[in-house]
Amino acid sequence: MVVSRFALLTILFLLIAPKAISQDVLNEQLTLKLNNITLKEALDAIANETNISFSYSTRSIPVDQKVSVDANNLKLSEVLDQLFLGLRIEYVWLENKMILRKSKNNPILHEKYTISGYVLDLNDGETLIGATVLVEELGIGTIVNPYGFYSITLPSGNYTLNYSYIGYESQSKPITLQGNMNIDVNLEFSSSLLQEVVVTISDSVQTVDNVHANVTQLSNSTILQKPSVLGEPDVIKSLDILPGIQLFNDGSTFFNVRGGNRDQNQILVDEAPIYNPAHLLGLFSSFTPEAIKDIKIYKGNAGADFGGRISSVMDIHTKDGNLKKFHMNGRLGLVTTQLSMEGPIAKDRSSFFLSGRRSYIDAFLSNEDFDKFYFFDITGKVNLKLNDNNRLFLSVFSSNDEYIDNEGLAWSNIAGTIRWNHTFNDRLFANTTFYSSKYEYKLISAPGQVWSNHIANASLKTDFTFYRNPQSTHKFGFKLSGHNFNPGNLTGNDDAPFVPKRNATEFSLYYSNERLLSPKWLFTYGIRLSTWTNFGRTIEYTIDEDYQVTDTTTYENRNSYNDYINLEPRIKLTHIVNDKNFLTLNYARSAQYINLISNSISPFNNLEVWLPASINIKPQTADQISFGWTHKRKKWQLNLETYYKAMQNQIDYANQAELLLNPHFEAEIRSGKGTAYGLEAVLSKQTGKLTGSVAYVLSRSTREIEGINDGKPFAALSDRPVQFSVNAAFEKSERSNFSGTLMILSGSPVTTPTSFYQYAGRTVPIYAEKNNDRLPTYHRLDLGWSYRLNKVVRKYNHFLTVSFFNFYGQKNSVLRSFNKVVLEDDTIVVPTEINNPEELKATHRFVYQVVPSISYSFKL
Amino acid sequence: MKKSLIILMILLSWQCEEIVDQGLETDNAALLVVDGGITNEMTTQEIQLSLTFDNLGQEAPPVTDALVLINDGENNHLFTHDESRPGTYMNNSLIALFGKVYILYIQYNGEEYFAFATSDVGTSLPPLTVEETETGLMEYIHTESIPSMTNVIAEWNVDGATEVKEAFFYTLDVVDITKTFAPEKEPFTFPRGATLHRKKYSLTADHQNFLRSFLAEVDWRGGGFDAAPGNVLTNLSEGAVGYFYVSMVDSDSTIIN
Repeated sequence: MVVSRFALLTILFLLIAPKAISQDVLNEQLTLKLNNITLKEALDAIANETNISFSYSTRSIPVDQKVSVDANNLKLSEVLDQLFLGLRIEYVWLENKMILRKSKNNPILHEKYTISGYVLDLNDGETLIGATVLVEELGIGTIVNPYGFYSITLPSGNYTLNYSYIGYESQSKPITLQGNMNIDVNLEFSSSLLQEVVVTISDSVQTVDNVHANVTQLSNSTILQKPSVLGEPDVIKSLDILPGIQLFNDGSTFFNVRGGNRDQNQILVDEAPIYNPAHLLGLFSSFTPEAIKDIKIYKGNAGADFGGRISSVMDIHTKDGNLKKFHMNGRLGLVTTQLSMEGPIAKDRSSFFLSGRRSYIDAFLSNEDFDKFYFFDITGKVNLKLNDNNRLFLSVFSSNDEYIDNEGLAWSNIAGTIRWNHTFNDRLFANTTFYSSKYEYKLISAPGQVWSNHIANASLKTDFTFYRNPQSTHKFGFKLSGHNFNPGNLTGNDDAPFVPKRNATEFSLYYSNERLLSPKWLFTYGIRLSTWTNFGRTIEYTIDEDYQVTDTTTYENRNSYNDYINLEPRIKLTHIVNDKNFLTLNYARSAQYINLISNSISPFNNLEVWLPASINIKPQTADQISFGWTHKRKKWQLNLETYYKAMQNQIDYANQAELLLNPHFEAEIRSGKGTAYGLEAVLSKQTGKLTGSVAYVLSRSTREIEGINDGKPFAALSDRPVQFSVNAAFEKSERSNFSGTLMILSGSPVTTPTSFYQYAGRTVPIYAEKNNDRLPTYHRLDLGWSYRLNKVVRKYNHFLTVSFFNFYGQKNSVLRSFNKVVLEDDTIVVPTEINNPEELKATHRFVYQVVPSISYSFKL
Repeated sequence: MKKSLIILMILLSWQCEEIVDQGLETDNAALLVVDGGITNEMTTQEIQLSLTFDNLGQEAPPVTDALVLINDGENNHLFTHDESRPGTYMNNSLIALFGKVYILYIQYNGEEYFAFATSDVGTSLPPLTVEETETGLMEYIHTESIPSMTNVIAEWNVDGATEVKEAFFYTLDVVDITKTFAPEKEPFTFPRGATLHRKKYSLTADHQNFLRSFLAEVDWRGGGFDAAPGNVLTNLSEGAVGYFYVSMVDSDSTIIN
């Protein structure tokens, strides 16, 4: 019995003692800081500190793996957990040695917790869209979503989270993850009031999530800093420095992206679409830069959550309003005055933002000259933080242009949005948006006689983001829209023909998954299902193959009569070659159901008529594939991207098409295919006193449309084969900042006569081929200087901005014509006399010579 | 154009216009051009024939050896070439009737060309409006509101010789931004004492369509809001260009004192 008791105690000791000794060893306190050394060096360092020895096989343990440890009085077990995190190494204390071996378990698959929260500006509480959250130990991270929210799920352990955003001081937060955590981070703005950043390609952090070759982010400081016409900072016109985006011409807010048409660009303000953001016929765009927090421009694959246009998405988020304190800023320019104010409604809980701009050209005109001659825009937002899980945003955008006496023009955009952010839990985020938007154009041809058209819609959408783990993020959602179109009708004239109004509903569903296949590969795949249904009450015309109307059908109220459905796959594959080189491959198919019906070649906006896809107009679709290479160095970055885009159901028009007040205008429409391809290169420098970018693009864009140009391919209006731009900013001092932009761009295609004939005493041109010629090469240099008037930054800061747009006065052609004569007083006119007219001359129109300007602005 | 639009144009027209050297590709295609029509007037009806040409400022080559006749559904009316005015073909017996369809037949260079036309009802001329300009000359102001084409001829004597000025003015029932923002047109001026002859032609819908496309190229182009260039419509067959019309006409003559 005694023997047996002794034997039992011996066995028990043999079983328990190593465990007890092991616990003692693992509880040993340790202070150690190791940064970016090999695992072998780290193990040696720990062995030196603790006098324990490690035993392992170099075949199964990655001894050359770089690791970091930051331990301050931590247990050895915690230090080892931190050290081996993500390396699949387990350890056991045996025979006075710490035995290391390869773990069969994936450490990421158990004991996972989620860190979530918002990344905010320290000073005003604005969310920082696109900020990055990097887990230093794992080299993985995530991007803050458009509402400032982030979520990342990790195994328990000690980590250092690095929060960063361009223009802000980065912040590191060491954490011990033992349960779900909510961390809101406030980053501090790092630059002086004159910011140095010009164009940011959002991949400054080495996370694979953040390599977006076909996305460009534009900050309002970029726009405010760029020299502009008459000192009016311009959101749309600032795009001309970006490769692959070409403004149609001087005086225009139209732009083309990668050879697409101008109606193929979706412009969203707080998620509501804006159809014609132009003031004064396009001399200025209608977005006030001071009201804008963030702009992202997607030139290709924008992800499955975006849809509706086939060339690009310009996603504009306006400011939420300062949650901390009241602020004002204003600007007095040569044409407009602008005032913005923002502040808390309840500190840190709710805020407002309000910005308004109005032209004052009318102040210099006599009241007898006009009834109305002005433009204005208003941007407003209320931001309510209901509780930790719910936020509400109410925003409104309105822009108006009116140039009226007895005759005149007027157009307006209005959009209102209600957005509700809801976090179901740390990993599931949802945004629900209801918006309504309307664009209207009026031409007053006589008192009481008004031609007007509009496009209006209301939409409900919900987007979910599920942050499953750092390796996988799921997005899914839906959108339901109702559209109403008036293609243009005349009131006040009973004899005018009636052009039927159109209605449609649009429903789309999407799903996408961003999956980290390995530390070197990121794969994002998604699909969007979009449907389009036309419904009455309306009239549709049957058009035969000779474009003759053969029948008329009336559809009763709310009766659906035509459907389209499209599947739109989106794929993105990113490969990190090493810490300096990234490769991306994108494919996206997209569908577009609304079309701008206009055969204008003018840079100025005019009677914009929008029409839905219907029986006679098929939806436009595009397939785009692109391949990009990003090379990053400490001070500069090079992006190269090549793309090929095939477009279907592209719209063009019959000879001398009559598109206004013509019920049968669809008989004037021709459709076919388009092709665009190109190579874009941009070298950018984002740090230091001198910042900027150099961009070069080689591209082509053609159309092939039945019934146009004898069915042969021709250069699209957006075909500008060479684009070169240099954009630079130099911060001479904290108070003084210089900037400059040089643009060189192939002239746009034009159709010129190949012969003439005489009719009714006039010389009439004959055109043998569409877009057979090209305007001369466009080039322009803009220079600007911004100066802070107060010597030190105070509560009230004020600035003077001087700019020279088109510094050397290049007369860039926007239009050419061959129908004018020069009179004795050198005026150029269309001749009236038919018997002995002066000799006709070729003439061109240009918009700008040198445009100097000065403006004053303040921030309070 | 009203003042607000003028101001808008001025603002845009620090946008400027100037003459440029523009070399043009030419296609050397000599197409037949038909210019003319018949009216209800008891006068000589005229059809002009010419060829297209390659260079701006060049004279239109006349067609002098064509066979031209008009069929009114019952008879063929032959047009003879006027040797004193090369390219002009005349007929003294034909008077157009409202509602009747006329067929123009041309035989030239081995090809046969056709055009069909009919007329719309004619309307009266509006009261004449002229204004004195700053230089003391009188200017014709076109106030017509009914779709029509008006031919205006001013005649006056200078030292015993007759001076003549002629122009066409058009009224079309269209809404077109290029028309609204059409470029400035040379004023039609003449001295006091001149005789102003007006002749108003009725337009069919087809003729109006032709004129819309014609004016889009010759009058409205270059105003800053141009539409895509396109060949002017025609009712001629076989690739000929121009237009053959039938119109009802109202005319008057006034001495401007």
